[in-house]
Amino acid sequence: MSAAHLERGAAFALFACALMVLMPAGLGAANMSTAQANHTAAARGFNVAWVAALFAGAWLLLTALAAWRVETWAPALAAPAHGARYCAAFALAAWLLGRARIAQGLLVAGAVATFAAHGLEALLLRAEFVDYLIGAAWRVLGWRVSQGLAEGALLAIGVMDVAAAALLLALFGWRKRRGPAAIALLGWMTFWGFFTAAARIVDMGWGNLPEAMIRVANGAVPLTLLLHWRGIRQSESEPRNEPRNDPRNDR
Amino acid sequence: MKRHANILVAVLVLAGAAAVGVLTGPTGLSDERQANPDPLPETVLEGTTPAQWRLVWTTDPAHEATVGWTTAEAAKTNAVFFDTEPRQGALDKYRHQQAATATGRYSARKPALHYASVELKKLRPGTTYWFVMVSDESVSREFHFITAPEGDAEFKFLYGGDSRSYREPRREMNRRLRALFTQDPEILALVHGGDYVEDGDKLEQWVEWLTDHELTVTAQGRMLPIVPARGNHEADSVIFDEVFHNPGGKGLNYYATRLGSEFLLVNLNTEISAGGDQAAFLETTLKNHTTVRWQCANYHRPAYPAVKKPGSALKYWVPVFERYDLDVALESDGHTYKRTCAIRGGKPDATGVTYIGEGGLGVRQRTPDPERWYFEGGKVGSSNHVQKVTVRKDKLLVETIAENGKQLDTWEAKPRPTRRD
Repeated sequence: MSAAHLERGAAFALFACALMVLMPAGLGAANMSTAQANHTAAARGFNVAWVAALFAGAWLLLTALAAWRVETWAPALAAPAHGARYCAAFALAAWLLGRARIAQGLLVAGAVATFAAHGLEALLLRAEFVDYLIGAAWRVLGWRVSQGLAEGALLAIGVMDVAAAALLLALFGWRKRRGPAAIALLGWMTFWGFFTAAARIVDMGWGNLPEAMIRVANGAVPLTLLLHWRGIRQSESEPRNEPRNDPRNDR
Repeated sequence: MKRHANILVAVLVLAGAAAVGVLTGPTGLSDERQANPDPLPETVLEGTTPAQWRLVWTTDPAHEATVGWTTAEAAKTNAVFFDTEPRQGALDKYRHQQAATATGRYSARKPALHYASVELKKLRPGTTYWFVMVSDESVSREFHFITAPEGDAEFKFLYGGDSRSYREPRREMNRRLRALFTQDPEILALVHGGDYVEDGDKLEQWVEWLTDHELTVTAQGRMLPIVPARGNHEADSVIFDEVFHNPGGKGLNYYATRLGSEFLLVNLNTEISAGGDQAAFLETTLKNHTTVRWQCANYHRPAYPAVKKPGSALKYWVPVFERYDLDVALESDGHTYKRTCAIRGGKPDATGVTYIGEGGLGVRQRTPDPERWYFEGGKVGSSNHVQKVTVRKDKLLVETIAENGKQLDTWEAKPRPTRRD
């Protein structure tokens, strides 16, 4: 069996994963508490979404490790650069299994890994990123940017990405992590994650849409954290009338 | 119990979907390989004996060449003694000698080996030079090479890339190069498209590659000059520059090679920014040579790949190629052989640029995708190979030759009417 066969097999399996996550057990779980979701799904006999998410995460992790193995430029950064992708899938599996705290930790780990790795790649002046800047400046603004200027901008972006990763890590370990600073940081990371994913389309046109889609997690993971933390913050500010019914919940 | 049944259902669905994908996948192509059981003696790497020699051409091979070699121990003096007559290694009879331009220990913790590079300048075009490499008291056997011609000359050269990872197929291909070089003295050099070794930072792999490269020397001692490009497996390797003496500048590795007055080869580096200084260099070079009859480019990651996704060449270099009517772009990296149709503006166009190569100097071949639109009217397949390029006044002929000597493909171009003012 060739690598092409394996990849095609995995592609079909991933499509199946997407369908299974969207099945009533997976989709429905998004609108109810974890305990309710587990109960309802089990009752329906459809609780397969977490298996699908686990498989997707395992495959994405495997491809990240393969990238580490075959990448010839800064190979140590290849696996963490993919962190948001596989951590998002693993976080979904954990959440569907009612492990919200683990899910949150995985999301933070994924965002930190991706931003830190991309930041370090920028600081090392990855040629591909230099060309993204030159190409985007020309295509969007009509500006001819010199290589020197693009490299200068890339250094600034690298510092920014590493700082964002470090701040998120620090905030996660801080008791008052759901304050306005955390929300602002996650807002920035969300914007930047989606923006850099979309840059693949700006760079090479709509034919590069799959390249952008596979990087959606770079923005979606901080967005999920932002919504989660903001939701918790809002609920904490409201008076509680009822006791919590799920001890595993992160609130 | 029910939970286990659910998991089983999920696993079965996933396995079924994967099986559908696998079973509907493309079938592989055969990998023809013929063993050549005739080993050639290789130079033993010991003391200051010059070994693992290479002759590098860069910008002006009619007048310049760099001779490089490796020694096990550091020598106090390194030099090349050379002449236009054979001197059988009698040092006092050579009319010229040139001390090493660069020496040092290779940038690797182990093995502890040393390089020497000697730039030969002010050579005469189309002339045979006989030479020996001397490190302290150790003298190599006598070799010779022929400088590139001047004027509107006709000649041939070999093109290939990807000689990494698998030693025996690489040695087999080097024997094929030697056979072609021996049979056809019109061949001037080997243009290499990059990926010499699996990991460009590992000297032990370079040691093997350089040892195997000795197989390209003919029985009469004619050395095959190499015009090197950097591949992704060399990435930012310092050893690449130590082996090939910084072709095109240390870490930059892009330069234009002139063979005669009517052939231009632009060697590019796909491992650094394609859209910055390098794109400007390409534009300037082609702009300054619009009247040169034949124009080719050599680089590693393809713009029109047979296996992978397009590299940055597609966005930054292809428009320049088309603007200046490049004849052929030589590409590697895919581990297949390929020839596209002529392409202009992202579609077939008889006035466009043809992309040939993809790499097969002894690397395990992959399964190409023959359904890609640019192979309509072209050719693609899976076999180790080398391209022989024949440069004539009235045509440019590219033959793809397998490791067993079988011809896999031929392609011919006529001079472009746009070339002359």
